[in-house]
Amino acid sequence: MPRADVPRRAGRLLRATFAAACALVGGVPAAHADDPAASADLVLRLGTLHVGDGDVVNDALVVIDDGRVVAVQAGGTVPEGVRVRTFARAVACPGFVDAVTQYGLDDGAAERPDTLTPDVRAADAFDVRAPELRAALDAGTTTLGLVPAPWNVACGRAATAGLRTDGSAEVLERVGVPVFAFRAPALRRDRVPATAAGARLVLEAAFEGRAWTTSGEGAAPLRAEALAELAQLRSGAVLVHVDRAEEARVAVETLRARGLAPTLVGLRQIAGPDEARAVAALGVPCVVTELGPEDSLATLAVPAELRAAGATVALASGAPAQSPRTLRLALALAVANGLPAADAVPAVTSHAAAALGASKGLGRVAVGARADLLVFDGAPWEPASRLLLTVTGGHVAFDAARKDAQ
Amino acid sequence: MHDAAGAGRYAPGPVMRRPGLALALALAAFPAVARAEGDAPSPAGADGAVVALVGGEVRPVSGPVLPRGTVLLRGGRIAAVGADVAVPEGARVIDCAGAVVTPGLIDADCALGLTPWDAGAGVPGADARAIDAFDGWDERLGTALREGVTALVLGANREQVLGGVACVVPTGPPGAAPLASDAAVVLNVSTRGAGGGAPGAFRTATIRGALQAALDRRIEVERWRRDLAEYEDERLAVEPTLEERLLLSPELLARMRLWTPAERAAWREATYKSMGREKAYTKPKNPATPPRAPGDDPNLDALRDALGDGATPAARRTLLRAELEGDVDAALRIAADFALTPVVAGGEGLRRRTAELARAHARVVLTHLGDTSASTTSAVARRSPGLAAALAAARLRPALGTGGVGAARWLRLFAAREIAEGLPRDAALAAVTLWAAESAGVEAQMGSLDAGKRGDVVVWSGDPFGATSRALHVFVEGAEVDVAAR
Amino acid sequence: MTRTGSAFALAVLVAAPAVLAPAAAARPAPQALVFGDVTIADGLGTAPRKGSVAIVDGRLVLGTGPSGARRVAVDGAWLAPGFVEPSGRAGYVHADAEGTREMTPDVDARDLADVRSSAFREAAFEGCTTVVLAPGATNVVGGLTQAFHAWTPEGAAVPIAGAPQALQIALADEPTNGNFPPRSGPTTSIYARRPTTRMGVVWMLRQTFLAAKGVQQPPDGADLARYRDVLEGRRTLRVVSHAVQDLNAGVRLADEAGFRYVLEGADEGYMVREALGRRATQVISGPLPSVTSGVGPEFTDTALRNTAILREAGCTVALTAGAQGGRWLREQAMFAARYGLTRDEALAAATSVAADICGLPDRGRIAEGAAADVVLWSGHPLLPSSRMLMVVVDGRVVFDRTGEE
Repeated sequence: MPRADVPRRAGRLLRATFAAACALVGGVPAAHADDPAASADLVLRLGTLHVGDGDVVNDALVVIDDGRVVAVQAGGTVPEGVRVRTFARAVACPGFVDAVTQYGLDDGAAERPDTLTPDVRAADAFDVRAPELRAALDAGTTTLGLVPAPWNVACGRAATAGLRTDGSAEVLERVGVPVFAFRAPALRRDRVPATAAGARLVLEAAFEGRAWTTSGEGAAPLRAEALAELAQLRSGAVLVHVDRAEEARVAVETLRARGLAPTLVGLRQIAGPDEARAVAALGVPCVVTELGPEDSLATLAVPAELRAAGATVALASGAPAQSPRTLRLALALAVANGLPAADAVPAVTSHAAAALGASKGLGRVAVGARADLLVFDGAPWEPASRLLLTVTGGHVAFDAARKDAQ
Repeated sequence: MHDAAGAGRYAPGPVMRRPGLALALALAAFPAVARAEGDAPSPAGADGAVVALVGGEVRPVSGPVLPRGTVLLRGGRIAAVGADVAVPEGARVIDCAGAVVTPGLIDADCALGLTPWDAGAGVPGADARAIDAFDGWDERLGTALREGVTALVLGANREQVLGGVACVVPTGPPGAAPLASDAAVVLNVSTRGAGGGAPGAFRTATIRGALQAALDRRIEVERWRRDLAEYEDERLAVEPTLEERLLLSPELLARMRLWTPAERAAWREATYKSMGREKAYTKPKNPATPPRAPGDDPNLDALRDALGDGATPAARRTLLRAELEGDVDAALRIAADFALTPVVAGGEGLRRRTAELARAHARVVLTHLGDTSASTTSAVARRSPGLAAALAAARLRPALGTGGVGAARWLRLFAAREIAEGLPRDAALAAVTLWAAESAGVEAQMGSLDAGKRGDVVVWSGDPFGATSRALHVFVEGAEVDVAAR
Repeated sequence: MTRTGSAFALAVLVAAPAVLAPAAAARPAPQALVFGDVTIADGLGTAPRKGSVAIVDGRLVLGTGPSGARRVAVDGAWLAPGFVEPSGRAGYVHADAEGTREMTPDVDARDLADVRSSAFREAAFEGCTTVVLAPGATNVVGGLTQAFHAWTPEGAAVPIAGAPQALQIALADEPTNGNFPPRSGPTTSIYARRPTTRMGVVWMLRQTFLAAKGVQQPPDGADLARYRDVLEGRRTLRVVSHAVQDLNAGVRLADEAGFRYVLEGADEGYMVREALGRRATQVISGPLPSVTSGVGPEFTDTALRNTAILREAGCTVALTAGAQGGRWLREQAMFAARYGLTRDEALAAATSVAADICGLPDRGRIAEGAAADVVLWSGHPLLPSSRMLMVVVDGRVVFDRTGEE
């Protein structure tokens, strides 16, 4: 049985690869007797499947068992007696990963007074039964990044949560990627620091275990625990809230010098293609947040401009509370303002998952990934496409056929 | 000729001796008159250009879809729509093969072009007219136009109980004249948050009080008019002038009793003029004092126009904002008690009151679609999906309003979202065109592709509700807008 | 099955070049330009002369230059160096200083700058080709300056590689603004701190420099490296002062600690001209307010002839437009030309002298081998009636209106 997820990495492939790919397609041995589909929880036949990273599989067979995807293949057959849900003319994609949200968190999702709160964990404030989680699931979101708001230079730890069919959530990663902020309100005149230059100095000192403080009477002291936590941080993915191109540059330089791999979050004030090119040249992934219908055309064009400049672009509903329905609208707005349709699905699935440091198990329909899947009657980025089926964590959360029958 | 002679008196010598030229000059000085004589070209299509949109999928809204139809624009209006429309010689032909032709979209409730202050906190008062706060040069109007939105219903103030007077405006060209300055009186039974602002009972009491005062004032004004007419008649009867003695037949006198003083004065003026007199003679003063006029109250006068008289509903519409069921109930009770012509703008509350709305012959606007806040106190944020579909299924002909400023330009994406939640595509198109026009009472002018309506037409690269689609050509009053400009 | 598989492989092949496509485009080679038969105001204070100047590989070559270069010929045109703003204080991305501390010697103006700010663009489009951005003077020690090419065809100011960075301190009352002495009871404001007076400012600086010199015990945790750089002559110190008492305090402090400095502001410098002149102080003078207003020493007694007086006393004087932004530097030079300097001396004060003070000896002048920062004018650059025709920054044209002549 041919495996659709085999010939994926494309960079060096040319004519020779074409032959190799054909050979693979024709040459993989047939499925052995204990076909995973035989005992699976759910088997889906999908007209078009966007795998999540930009690839598309036609006539895809997806086998889901025990909450995970156990097989993805183009074409193929299933053993007798196995029930297959067939959506021949539908378009499927991974469940949306909303990488930056505050759903289920207390207002602000930040310990505001301190400059450095790297030891704060978003998961600790998370209400797994918050009503907006149900709304998020209805809108096609199956995984959330819970990201502390940009009130501190070191904001704390993000968390990743998966939604359950009943609209509640389970925390998938309790201590997620560290989050930083190089923008207002973390940078503000009446607190430490006031500028991106200051944020750089505060963090550089903290990474060495030193406290960079003001001598003002009313300043909160930098806590030893906070400094200790930052002194330990030497590698790995981090998120950093920035709005403007210069904030992005200072943030990336500061965090890179420490050996960290930042992903930019926010980027709502990138003014025009020149700035987008400057941000893209930093060579880090970008998550554009809070796109909404009231935004200026300049802001709405940011995802398209960053993409055109070569950056990896994800979309997220953002730190201040936005309606959970907004992610799909943001996707439509980004596409309507120039984001190529081919980049639309990755922007809300695999690229978003990568921002949370969870690129393997989330945001893709691939063997071993969490079984989050959406089936639409049209392209996922089209706001008019109707959701036919939502699978989250391997279970059906919404089924239009069942709803229509009622 | 009388006018021509008058003009000639002040013209230089040679012209004076040529009455024909003088007539031409006089007509040129009054372009409105000249235009009425001719083919009635509008300002936008003044060159009389004819545009033929040929070969596209035409969705007229008022009739079935034409897979390959032609839309003919002439003189700023739609001249013809059909499968076999002959394209006249010299027409500008635009090949629309593969494209979709629809009427221009209309946002049934938004604040684009108003300042946040005017749309929000504002000044309380029923006489606050949205058109007076409208900035027709707001550059965001142009961006809305390029997304196919050609007209807006500006729902005036959204927070004050008495929200003022809504209007209908075109999105272009900059500074264009309004389409309807006094489209509807706005009464906000609930605010956007439905929990914010004054409590519901206080709001409805305020509305009822204002409407009752307007009703009382109408009775007072009518009584005063009657008294004044009687007084005038008595005065005429006591001391008619010589001319009046000569001119007034008993029948005419009887009819004059029904006239307003202004009409009477105009008649008198015309009569004297026809007799070649410069002005009326002053008459001896009647010793009896005329009845005192009620004091000025523009606030109540604005509301007065929205009141029906019991037998017939009012000509002026009333836009009642009501988000939750209780608000809708209150709105409909107020509408019934004061014989209003109700347009109910709201959300979740409309879903469970479809029968009552239909019974009240209420128009329905599903509004605040552009609100993306997730505040747990906001009734808008707590709406459940499929609202427009439910309203359309109940045959309420819902119009869609973004309730926003920049959001107005994305009206088609909000309609698309309702499609995803079950609204049929044809209903979605109607909801942002014809039904929106109906909600504001301008359906005779726009909202569908019908001969005689304004030439507001959009040619889309594909499905009007597609994120990847864009407007290829936008016509406003028959004149094309440059959609490439940003 | 095979069909879908092939289609998939094809999709992979199509995708591959798309991934490779956004390779960085090479920067186009700077254009060789010749300004033929122009009047040259060289920015060095010498009298204007006729001649030709070429730009080859980003450097100026006197004479008609190589064949095949683009020749710019406008009748009666003047060629002058671009203005050099030695102390730009506009175009910050956030606040102009890291105000949460009083002494921030590590703050780099590079990180304070919004390189796409309209302040930079407007400066270039008014003939100012170099802007040395300084931290705001609201800190006792503001941090390091950074020199920028004011604008480039890419649409941003670009740091000048290798340009020296001066350390800026303020001997004035600005650093005290907003601070207040701790009152009884707890406070949540970080501004309950020193300094609250002019004396406090001098006290803090004296402590710091004496500690850096090793004469006095350093405050806890103070990093004195940058001050030692200054004391040992490796880095230029800039002192922002306006009023006479601060100017005198600066002279005393420099004598005590033993450092040399560039004086900036110096509104009342004419009152201490002998002390400043005796030490051959380098001064960045200005901005001269068009209208004097306000209260306090900073806003009174500004002498319109200040620049000329300091120059006569033996100081080296450059001009700045400060917080007004580089676009107003030409106006400052016009002021100076009206009140005591010749037009060519004033031009030098806004070009070569400013560049020298900032450690940019190859800028702000028209000389063999100098950097190609030049502006083509319709007349003398400091005549109000002169129009700007072309601006070249670092060898590249950013503004060109020669086609309209």
